[in-house]
Amino acid sequence: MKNKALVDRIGIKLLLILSILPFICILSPNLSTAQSIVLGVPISRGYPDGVDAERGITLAVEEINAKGGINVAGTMRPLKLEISDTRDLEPGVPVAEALLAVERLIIEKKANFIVGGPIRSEGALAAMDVLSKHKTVSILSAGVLSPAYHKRIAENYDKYKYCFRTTGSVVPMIGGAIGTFESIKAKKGFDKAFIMVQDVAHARAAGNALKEGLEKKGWKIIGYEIYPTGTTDFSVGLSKAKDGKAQYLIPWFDMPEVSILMKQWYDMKVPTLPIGYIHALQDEGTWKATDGKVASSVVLYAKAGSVATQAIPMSETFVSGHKKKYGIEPRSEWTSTSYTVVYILKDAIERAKSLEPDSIIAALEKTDMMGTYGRVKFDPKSHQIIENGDPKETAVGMWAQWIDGKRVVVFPDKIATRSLELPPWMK
Amino acid sequence: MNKSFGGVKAVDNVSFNVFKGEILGIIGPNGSGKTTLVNLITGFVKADSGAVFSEGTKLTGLTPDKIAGLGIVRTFQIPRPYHSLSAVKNLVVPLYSSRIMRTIGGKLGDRDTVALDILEEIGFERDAHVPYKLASAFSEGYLKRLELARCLALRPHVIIMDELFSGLSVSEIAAMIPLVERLQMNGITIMMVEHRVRELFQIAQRVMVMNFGEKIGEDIPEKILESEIVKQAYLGVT
Amino acid sequence: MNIFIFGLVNSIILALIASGFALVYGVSRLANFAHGALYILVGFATWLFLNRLGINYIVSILLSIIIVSVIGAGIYRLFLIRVKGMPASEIIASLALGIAIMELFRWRGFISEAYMLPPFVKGSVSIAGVMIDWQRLIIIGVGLAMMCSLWLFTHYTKVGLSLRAIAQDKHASMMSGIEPDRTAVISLAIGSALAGVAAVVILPLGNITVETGYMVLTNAIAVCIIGGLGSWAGVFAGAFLLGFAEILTAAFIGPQWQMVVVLLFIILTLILKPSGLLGKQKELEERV
Repeated sequence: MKNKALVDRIGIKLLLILSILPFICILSPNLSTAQSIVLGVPISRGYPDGVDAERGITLAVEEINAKGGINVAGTMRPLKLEISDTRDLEPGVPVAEALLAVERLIIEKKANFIVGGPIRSEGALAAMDVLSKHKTVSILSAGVLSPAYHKRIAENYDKYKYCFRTTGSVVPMIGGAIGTFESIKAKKGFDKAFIMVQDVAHARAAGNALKEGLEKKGWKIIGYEIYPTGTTDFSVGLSKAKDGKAQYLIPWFDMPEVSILMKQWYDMKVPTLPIGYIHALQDEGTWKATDGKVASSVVLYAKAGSVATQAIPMSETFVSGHKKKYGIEPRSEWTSTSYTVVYILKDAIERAKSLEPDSIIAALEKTDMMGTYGRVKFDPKSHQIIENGDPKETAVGMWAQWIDGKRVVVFPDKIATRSLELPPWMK
Repeated sequence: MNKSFGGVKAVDNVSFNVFKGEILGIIGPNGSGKTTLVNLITGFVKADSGAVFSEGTKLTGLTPDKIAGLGIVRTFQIPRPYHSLSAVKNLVVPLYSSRIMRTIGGKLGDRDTVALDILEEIGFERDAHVPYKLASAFSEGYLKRLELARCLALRPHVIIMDELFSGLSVSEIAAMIPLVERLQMNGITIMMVEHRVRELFQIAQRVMVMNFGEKIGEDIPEKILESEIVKQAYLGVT
Repeated sequence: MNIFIFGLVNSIILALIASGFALVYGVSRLANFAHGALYILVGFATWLFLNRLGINYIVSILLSIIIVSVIGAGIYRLFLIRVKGMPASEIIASLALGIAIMELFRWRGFISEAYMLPPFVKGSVSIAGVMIDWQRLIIIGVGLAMMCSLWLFTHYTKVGLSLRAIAQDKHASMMSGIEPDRTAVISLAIGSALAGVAAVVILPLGNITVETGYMVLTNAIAVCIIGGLGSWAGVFAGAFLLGFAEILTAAFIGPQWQMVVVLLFIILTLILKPSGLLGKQKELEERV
């Protein structure tokens, strides 16, 4: 008897809810606005890089939607995120997986634009054909440092004009890096370097370019070593650096195991200044996780913005917004770039007053706005973001040093908040 | 009971009884299915059909360790000691088995001493040297004794001896026979698979003869020796 | 001196990583391909106890090791027991479980550089002119202590003796009333605990990633193949050979050749002595 009464009551409630539901739908303002703009985000969600990018994009989309969305020729249209896992950073996952993810976003999810990844160069390069087949505009904002990307666009503009990239390219990055090293040399007189790179295409390219560039400027390269991804012992290389009296240790790694290198460097008290692309050390949590053994390490960020600097106002609002939403500061450069990319797209859509690919492409080519990493402008022929050392003129990368548990911007000079410090055992 | 290997009937409709406290000999030419029979009883191979019972408990379907746990143990034709353990430790292994823990439990006292007692009973010198040698260092005669000793350590009520006498000299066999008889006097039921028919017939109460997987005779030793069918199968062997 | 000290550390790391795998294989003839997963499981579990629940470091370590040995035992009891005696199925089943465990962590978002365990003792010391951190010295200590205690365990305890017996001759030990399933459970529990010990001493050197699990499995298998599956001395021989080979390669040829040298050793071993340095060829099966 009791049970029956219970069933009756639940039944009545259900009926009530069902009958009210249509009214809510009609009355709800959110559901009655204009059709949303779909952003397809193909990224490797199982990896920090993918998560970082996702966070940046999500934050920007929420901010924009909170203000009513994007003004497309007079109608305010909200953004809708469709995130798809490409798994392209996972070892042994074929590129086809990433391509499927991109195509699924375009066909099934009806994505108007693709932003974010794929993150691995191999996946992104292969995705270019998919994008051009479906005439879908894409702006890369995570990973993909290979110079091949913009070279391909420049060589075959008509086919690949749908692709834009804001992340960076090894060539300008190395140019900037050599400039930075030269300025340290001018101040401290250091000219002996030991280069360690990861055995992946972009890092080897960077290592070779660095070696060549520095030698041309009269530097002595004490050693140049290539480590397979997943290496867990660097003692031999560090000993060589120490014995060779190298003053710089220049690592170029995107694997997480690089924290072992820094810990070993610290424990062996190798008298060198670690400075290079050490992706795993960008995270604010690294200090605590390594017990402060990253102290004095100088880390390159392909783009500034993930550490706030007064010189770039947007970086300050972005970092505080990120902290409010996720409880931590942005972890890597890809959060900053992926945050800005949504605003770049918003700006272009509003100027184009339409979602048509051709007018969007034209608008993007004329982009001139401030982002979290300085002034955003694309090269109209290669669709590569233009970068140099001054955030007022172009996009900038950033060198941050770990000092007393904080990431402090030390280069480029225009955005630096503090000057470079040497490890205590180097003085 | 039946067992075939790839179409060859290794054991073909063999049925027999062993009575408590007796010594049953099993003879037959090479390949007649004797060892397969032993493997069937002790659970090392699964029967295609048929079953083995011991005092009402069905053994078929149990794993060898469970069967051994019930007190039905065997020796191996080629001795299989734990090569890198000493003779004493070879016995300590079964002395720690769950059967011993269950039946006698903690009252057994020092395992090494118990092991030495068993070894002595089975004909090992009780000195500071021999029982502590690694099993890999023993001669065939000792290894056969070790096989038997390891069975005894489990306090079995049935021991199946798979060609215990093979590989031994006449004098070694002569020394072994009283051992087997003593085991029988202690109330252990014994099945002996043997080639050494003459020695077997001295101690066995009954003998079963196998050929091509089939049982071709079962009787007291004297009768078996006279039987025509057995003579045919064994022509020239004895 | 550098090469000697870091070669020693590297070798002991390999030995620690491989010992659990080798023990399980030696006793139960079971290649536990979930070994690497159990290794990172301990890492993540310790991290969680330490950082999420705020439990004392030592207690966290002990808890995780206990948990992983229970899981190890469970893997046999629930899964592998159903496919026992079929080596291919055992490998597939344990690898599948391992991947499931590892990818579960990835799925639950355990993918940041922040997953690191603190070293037991901070700081470093200079030994013969080589700066070395305490954690690496502790690894050497724990490695040696583990070898000794394993030796004592297998030689002087009841369970250890039955493990050795079944490792030497499965059939004979069944006739001695030893239950293979029980020893397999015990061996997996101990093997998993060994993976756990290795994890908690080695992981503070770097960080805990899902990929570590795959790498640990590969290294454990490499050491066992070279040293000889199922041989204790072989594990240490294999670990020292590989450990020093890696360091020497890094010192004189270049670190990018390390993996090539490892594979070369495996191939050479398989050609010259397929059973491994100290492994024994299988004896002739008894006639049935």
